[in-house]
Amino acid sequence: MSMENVEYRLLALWAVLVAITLASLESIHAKGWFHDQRFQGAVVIILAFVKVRLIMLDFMEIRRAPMPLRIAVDVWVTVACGGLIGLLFNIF
Amino acid sequence: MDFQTAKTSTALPRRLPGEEGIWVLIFGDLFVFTLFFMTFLYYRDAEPAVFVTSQLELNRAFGLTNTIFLLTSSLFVAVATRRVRSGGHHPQFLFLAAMACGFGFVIIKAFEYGAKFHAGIGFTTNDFFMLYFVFTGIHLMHVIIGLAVLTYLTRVSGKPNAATTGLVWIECGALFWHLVDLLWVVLFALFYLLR
Repeated sequence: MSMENVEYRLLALWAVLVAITLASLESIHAKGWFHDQRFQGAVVIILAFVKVRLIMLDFMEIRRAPMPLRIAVDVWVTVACGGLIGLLFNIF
Repeated sequence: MDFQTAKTSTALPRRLPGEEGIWVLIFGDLFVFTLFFMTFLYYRDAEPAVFVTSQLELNRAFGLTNTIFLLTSSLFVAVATRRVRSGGHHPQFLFLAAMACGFGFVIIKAFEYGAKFHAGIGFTTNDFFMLYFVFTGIHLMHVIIGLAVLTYLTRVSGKPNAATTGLVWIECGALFWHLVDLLWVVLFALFYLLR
């Protein structure tokens, strides 16, 4: 992949990250969508961790890192995101 | 990474960004901040009304602007690092642009803290603001350390050995800055967006 392509891909990723940020901001106003307010919280947390994972995969180059590191990152993302949603829904 | 590996990296073999030590630091920090995030939700569960009304005192525009600042600085750092590796144009200017975004973050945070203190809101106001000041304060210290790291990267990325012996340090510094960015992504979601 040429250097220009790499840079365009990174720019596209940045645009996706900004779009997700704006979408999660909008979720505050979308009161009618959630009959239980905790679902808005879950959406916000999941969108945050989607952004975190994309930053790790492509800005931090985890996508091409050795498998143990890639797995460790995905385990952390899953445990942290799942743990926070669990706390939000009081299931612990 | 030796020269041979660098030469063949276009064939996309798996490789470790930075070196082992920085990943120990990154996972250590991720662990500590995960405890912070969970602490926030634990306290929130005890006083949901206090947390919702306190959150309305925060300026979401400041939070959003700071998120955009850090995402943009991360983009500059990611592109600069690739340019150092491939011998592209002027990576040091991109590191400088990332620093400008980082300074923007610090200035906005200073305004934000100042406005809160001016309105009589401080550490002891309630649990929400205690956690807000402690966790975002610790994060702000990371940003300031990150700015020192970016100063170093700006200096070394223009040197002739940047793509060879200097590369591992540049990658480590870049990884630290991305860590600062991703920790803020979660802090922003929890403190500003969770209703």
